[in-house]
Amino acid sequence: MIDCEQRWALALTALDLLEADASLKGLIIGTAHGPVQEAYADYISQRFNTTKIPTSASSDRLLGALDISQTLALGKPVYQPGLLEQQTGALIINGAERLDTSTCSILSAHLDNPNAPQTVMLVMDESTSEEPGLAGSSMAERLALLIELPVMPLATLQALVNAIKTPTDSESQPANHEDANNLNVCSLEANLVEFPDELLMELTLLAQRLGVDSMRSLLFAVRVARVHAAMHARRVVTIDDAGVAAQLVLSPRALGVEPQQNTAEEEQSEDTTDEHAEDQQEQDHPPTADVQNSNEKTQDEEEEQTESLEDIGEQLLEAAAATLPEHLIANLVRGQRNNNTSGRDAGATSKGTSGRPIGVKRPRGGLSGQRLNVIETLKAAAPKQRLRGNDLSKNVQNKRRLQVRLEDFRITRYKQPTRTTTVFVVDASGSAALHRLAEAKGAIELLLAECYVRRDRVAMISFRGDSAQLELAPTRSLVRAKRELAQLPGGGGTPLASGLDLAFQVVHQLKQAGETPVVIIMTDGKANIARDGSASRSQAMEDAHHAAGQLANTNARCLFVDTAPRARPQARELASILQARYLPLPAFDAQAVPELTRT
Amino acid sequence: MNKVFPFSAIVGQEDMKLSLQMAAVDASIGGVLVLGDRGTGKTTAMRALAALLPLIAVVDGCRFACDPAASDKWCDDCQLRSQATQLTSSERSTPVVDLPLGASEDRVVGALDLEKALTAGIKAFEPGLLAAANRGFLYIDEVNLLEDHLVDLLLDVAVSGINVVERDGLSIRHAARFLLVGSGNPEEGELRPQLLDRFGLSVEVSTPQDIDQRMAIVRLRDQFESDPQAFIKRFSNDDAQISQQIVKARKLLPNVDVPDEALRTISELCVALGTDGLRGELTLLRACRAYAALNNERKVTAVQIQRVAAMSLRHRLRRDPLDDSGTSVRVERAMDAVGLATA
Repeated sequence: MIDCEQRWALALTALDLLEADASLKGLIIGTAHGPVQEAYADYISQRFNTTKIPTSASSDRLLGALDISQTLALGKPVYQPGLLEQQTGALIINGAERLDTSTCSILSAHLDNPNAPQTVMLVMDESTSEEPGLAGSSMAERLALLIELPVMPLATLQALVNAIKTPTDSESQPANHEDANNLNVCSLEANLVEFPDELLMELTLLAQRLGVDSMRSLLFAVRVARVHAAMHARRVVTIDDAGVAAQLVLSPRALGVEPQQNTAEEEQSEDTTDEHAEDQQEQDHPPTADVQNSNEKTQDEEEEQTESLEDIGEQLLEAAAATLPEHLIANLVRGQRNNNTSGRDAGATSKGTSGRPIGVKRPRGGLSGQRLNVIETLKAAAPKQRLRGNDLSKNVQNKRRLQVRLEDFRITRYKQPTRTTTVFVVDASGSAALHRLAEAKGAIELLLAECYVRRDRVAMISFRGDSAQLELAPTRSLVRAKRELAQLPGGGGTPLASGLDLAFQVVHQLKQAGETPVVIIMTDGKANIARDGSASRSQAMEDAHHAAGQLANTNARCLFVDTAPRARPQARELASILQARYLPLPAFDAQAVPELTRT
Repeated sequence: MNKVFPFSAIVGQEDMKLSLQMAAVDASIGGVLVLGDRGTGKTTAMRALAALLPLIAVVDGCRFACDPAASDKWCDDCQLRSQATQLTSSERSTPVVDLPLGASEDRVVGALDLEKALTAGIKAFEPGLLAAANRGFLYIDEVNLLEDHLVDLLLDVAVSGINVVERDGLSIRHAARFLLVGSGNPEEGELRPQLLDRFGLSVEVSTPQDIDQRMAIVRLRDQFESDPQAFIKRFSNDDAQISQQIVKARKLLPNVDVPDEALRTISELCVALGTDGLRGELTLLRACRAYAALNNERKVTAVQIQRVAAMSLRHRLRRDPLDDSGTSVRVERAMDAVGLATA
């Protein structure tokens, strides 16, 4: 591990590099909100002429558009320039983990555009380890540098901040402030730097060993090494420069380390003093080796697992080839659309600017990136002209225009298609005997394939022993769903009530998010564990009925698949409480399986 | 003029390069879908191809890039203006238009020109991205994440070549012939099969794992960035050759003969694979013809079918949850079955 000071120094180097050559595009700083981030941001604003881009910026704001209110007021077009049209300096994005995909893609396109102004993008990613950050997104891919700033003691930070202030005041660093907007200081020199073949080879090998597949990252690494060499007035790229490139470009993107010989590790030797580079090569301490080693381990484990899992997955599918009627989910959803009695119009989002137009409304608090619906606006303004002292009949002589005021503004409302999420509630208890469970899994996989085709999401809850778990949070990834299914263990009691309770929670959340939940319950209906975990059959049944009633109240469409070898009235009763469609799985027929797999 | 990485300097990714060239030869093949990892040169290849294509003649001042030679297909503006004055024209390179993910329908198809409507009170049409892409390339990165209704709309226009605008009290149609190139990573979500089917060709790209190849790519790119002019000059001959090849192929295309037995093989292949509808056959046929034309051959034979079958059909197969083998493998299996030895 490298310590805070070294990381800080590296972060400063990153800024030097960006200042030296704008073709590096930018930097992503992974840091928690706090003094470290503030100190760094402070420093950035000293060095660069900055423009902030709020994460909520609309495309109009980013790319520039007509300012409607001003245009109307002045009677001539007033163009509001976009933030991305900024010609020089740095664009700052704070809290980048909150960027939505459309903003991200506009920014990515901007970074890709060869004619875009030569600005650099400094992106603060405040995501924690639990939530997904920017890393791996198309935008992160297009910015050369990545660095994590650790939380550090205030005293250390103070010392570091003072350290950067002193040289700026004295003569040692030639007046940064004056060329604050002068990017590309070294970009021409960098082109002339010689890049020895063996270093290029080492960088390429390193990228491969770290699992950095993208050629873009590798190319950035090469560029960084060049620029770094040029900054230090070197004619030839040295191992130092390559080391910096590895630290700022490659290792933050690493997925793991292939267990191989350690020669390439020297690449990463951490040196801030160039003179002693050669001497220090031996005592290499790779910056993120610890993390990488642990990654490596888990990756290996995963690989092993997935391999064996694929085997199991195959078997399960063949075991099941499930005997469910085709297009089950499609029918279910259609049914829901027909008798959708809950009056909630969750699909029409007020902010949405895409989808099917469903009438107009007034914009709340001015037009924020939404497009004016001119015709409706004029219609709204027309009857009020006399009130505004604007007699239209006399207008001919006065040549006065229609008076349109802010209150007349109308924008189009859009309805976005609601997303369907299918929630599987799977009984993994001992009573759902082993082969039945396999069959159920197979059935789910078939249904999953169907969900997938219609771009729906799936979630999965399983219950066994004395509790229920959310095995699979709503996802669209079939690969992940398959893996989770294969891992699903079986055995134990049947806490049906807990399973239904959890299903209720998930369904409730989905409804809140404006989605359409569909619940598929696969159980034999023989509840024997009550909500409190006690093994009382009658109490368990009672709880299950209560939970079923609760779930039914959400009005979510339900399908009850009875996995018992012989259908029983209890299960049917439960299904009727759930207001679910009841579907007994026909008896397992081993003969039919190969035939079904063939077709 | 900005610096574009030369097409002939792109290492590897033969399928992607070939499919783009074929689509450039015969636009009726339809769009090209490039699926695969990031950083595999998708954007580079497309921009490079657009740059080497012959310049197109465009009526000056036309917002839809009308062809001065095809007066019967002119937009209303050009028709009107041509009655008043003699239209002038100039040459420009093939346009490449990026369609960002969050683009609104207004922006894509065009809409009422607010500026003119508000200040001058004129009902005018403000062309969108589709107009800008006319006679060029329309590139959508992460097409699999694009909203379905937009993809639908794009494919409709791509096939018909006409953009019909019925909105904001406007009723306008204008030519929008472009080559649709979509790219995406299937792990982040897939396209619906209905949409997949409408792309003409589909190729899979992956990052090269061979260390020498990676080195070669880095070397070339590095040289390009250090001295673009010299680099472009170095490859200008090769690029010109490819350009020539495409121009020749376009001329040759109507004369490429498709004998009955080749057509039979194509149909047999599609039946064996169970592709829905006839789009598979048609695309495969066109692709074979374009490939033959590119190689200066006048007759479609098994050679062409073998080469282009996978990229023409791979995305038209029914998803079979019980068959995990890759779609390319299935196409190859089917080719074996109909007696086409795979190379």
